[in-house]
Amino acid sequence: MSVSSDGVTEWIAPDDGHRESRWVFLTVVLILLAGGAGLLVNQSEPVKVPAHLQLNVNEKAILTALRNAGDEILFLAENEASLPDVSSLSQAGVPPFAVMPGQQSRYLWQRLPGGCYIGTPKAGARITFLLLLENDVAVFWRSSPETEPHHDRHDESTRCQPDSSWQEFRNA
Amino acid sequence: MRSVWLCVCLLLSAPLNAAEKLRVGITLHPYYSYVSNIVGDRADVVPLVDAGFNPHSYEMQPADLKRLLSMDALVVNGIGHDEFAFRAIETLQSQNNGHVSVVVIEANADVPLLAAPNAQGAWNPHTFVSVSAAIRQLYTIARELGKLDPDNARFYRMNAINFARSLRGMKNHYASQLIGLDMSDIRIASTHNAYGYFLQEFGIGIDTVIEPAHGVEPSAGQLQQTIDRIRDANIQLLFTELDMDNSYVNTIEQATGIRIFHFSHMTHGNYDIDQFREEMETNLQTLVQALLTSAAAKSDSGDAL
Repeated sequence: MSVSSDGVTEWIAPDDGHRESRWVFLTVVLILLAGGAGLLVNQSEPVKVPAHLQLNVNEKAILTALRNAGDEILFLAENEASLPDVSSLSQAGVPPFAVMPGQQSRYLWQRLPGGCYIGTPKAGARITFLLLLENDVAVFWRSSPETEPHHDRHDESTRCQPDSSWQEFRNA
Repeated sequence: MRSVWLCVCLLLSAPLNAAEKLRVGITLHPYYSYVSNIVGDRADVVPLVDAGFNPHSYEMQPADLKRLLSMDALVVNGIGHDEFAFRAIETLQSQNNGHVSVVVIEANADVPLLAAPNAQGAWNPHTFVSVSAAIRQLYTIARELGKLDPDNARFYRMNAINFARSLRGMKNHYASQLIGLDMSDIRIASTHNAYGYFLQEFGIGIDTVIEPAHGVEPSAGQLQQTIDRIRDANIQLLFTELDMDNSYVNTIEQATGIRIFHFSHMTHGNYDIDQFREEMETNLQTLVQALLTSAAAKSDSGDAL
């Protein structure tokens, strides 16, 4: 309110809903801010899909067989100086070194110095598998066999040391 | 006098030896077979729940909780079907200031698991309807029991390997009946996702799972979609569960002409050391019969053309 020589002048805000609109706008902003803050606070890590789920049905079967074989090999090697070779595992009927009747093996299995077995794909397969037996059993795999580097006998032991190009089997 | 002392010593030592035996609990029927075959007479195998329960909806009773307290270890599937055991352990922990002495052995810890359909981050729990996944669980259970009972660790591992070999021999026996069979065109449907691990070891994938979720019957609309899918994809075989009455399966059969075969889910009946082996053999027989039937039908339709 102001006072002038002409008398008293009182400013009255026009009753056009501006004030209400401002309150509504402010409320909407507050709700959005609260919602945004809630989203930020309640975010969780997206569930990471385990890599082995990308394998096809035959490759998953090999993975399971290889994980089983690890325990059997350690048991067989308990009183031996070295790990059993591939032919004796095949004769003992240990999959995937031995295949089911009527099936053709899609992998060439080799025992390598350094405590591991490697399965390189033959025609019709695309994944290389590695069974590592040190203190425990670990199974690795990788695709793209065409990129498999050439190894001579001198660096064969390094093939038992999987680098970042290999995926390790883990459910979580 | 010496013989009297000997008798007294024997009388005292007998209950001691009996008390030293591990008491190993199990939650589901297949684990009774697995653990019994592993431990032989060197541990007691105790079902957590009396036979005849439905694993999909069971709630623990006071007698089960009491039994749980008496166990040294409890072997669980851990990814489905035995959630009741975990609720029971939580209940006991809350009653005992967080302390429960039973060691939980997760049989599936090292099994390459399959994903549960329509559920992010969940696993298909039917690892016990399989030979390879069962062998994986045998080895894990034997290893973990060996940690609790080091004196018998080698005995447990040897028994696990011998049982695994006999299961593998049985599988190979039935696989040999499929020699020369072209399975590339065989298309499979399943009422629920219980047989993924089993079929996987024969290189067979499942084209269609009918139930939208475990134990949930499809709606009329979903059933029609399934029928359309079976026709479009030329799916010839439908595997369903032996001990479950799924009336919608008959509707699908009438609408599509698909052949229906029943597998055991392995979680019914009495606890028995031989149950897993016997029911797995029945499943193997059924699978061979189904695949041969499908191949014969394909051959007949080829001749007709």
